[in-house]
Amino acid sequence: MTLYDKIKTVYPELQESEFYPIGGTIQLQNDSDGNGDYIAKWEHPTLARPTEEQLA
Amino acid sequence: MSAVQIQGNASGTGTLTIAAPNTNTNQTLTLPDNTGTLLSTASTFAGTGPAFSTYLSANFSLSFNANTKVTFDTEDFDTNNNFASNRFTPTVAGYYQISVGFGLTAAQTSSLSLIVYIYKNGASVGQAIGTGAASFPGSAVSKLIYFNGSTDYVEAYAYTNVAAGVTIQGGSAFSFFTGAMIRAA
Repeated sequence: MTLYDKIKTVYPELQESEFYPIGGTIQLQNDSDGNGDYIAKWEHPTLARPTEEQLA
Repeated sequence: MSAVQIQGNASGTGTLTIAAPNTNTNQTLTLPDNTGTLLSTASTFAGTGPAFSTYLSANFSLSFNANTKVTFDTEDFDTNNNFASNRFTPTVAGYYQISVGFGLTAAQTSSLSLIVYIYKNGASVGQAIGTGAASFPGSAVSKLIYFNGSTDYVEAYAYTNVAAGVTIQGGSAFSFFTGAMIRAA
C-alpha cells in the first residue's frame, strides 16, 4: 500500500486533486534513498496531518 | 617591476596597429596572467566551464502521487566531475542551462499528468507538465540557473498521477539530465 493509499484510508473524503502538485494542499515526495514516500507538505485547511500511528 | 614586451613576427609582413579609442578618460587594460591568445569580437570561441550529460540505462518506476527523485546511473560526459549522487554541484560559480526530460514506456490514460522538475537545493525552481495518452508521452523542462560554485546543486524529480505502471523509459533518448555553464558569475 502506498503512502497515498494510507492517507486515503485515514481521510477517505480527500480528493485526488489535493495531491496534485499544482494547486494541491498535500505534497508527497520520494527521494529515492530507500526510505520511501513521505509527506513533504501538508497544508490542508481542515484536516490535520495524519500521525505516524494512523499511517502505520 | 614586471614589464610588457611587444614582439614582432619575422615571417609576416603586415603591421599590427594598437589603436586608442576616441576617449578623454584614462583607462587601464590589464592583461591576463597566463599564456594564451587574446580574443577579439571576431573570434569564435566556446566556454570551458563545467558540462554534464546523464541518462537512465534502465527503466525507472515512479511513485504514485509523489514527487520522485530520479536517480541517473549513466554519464555521457561530466567534464569537471561535478555530477555525483544524482545531483549536479558545479564548483565554478556562474549561470548554467539545466535541462531534464523524460519519456514514458507506454501509452497512458487520458488523465495522465507527468510533471518534470528541476529541484535546486531541495525545492522546485522549474517544472513542465505533459498530459494525455499518446504513445511514449513525455515532458521536458529547461532553465537558466545561477550556481554559487560551492553549495548550490540541482536534482531531477518527476510526478505522475497514474496509480500503476508508470515507468520512465531508459536510454539517453528518453531520459536525460544535462547542463552546461553559459556565463561566468
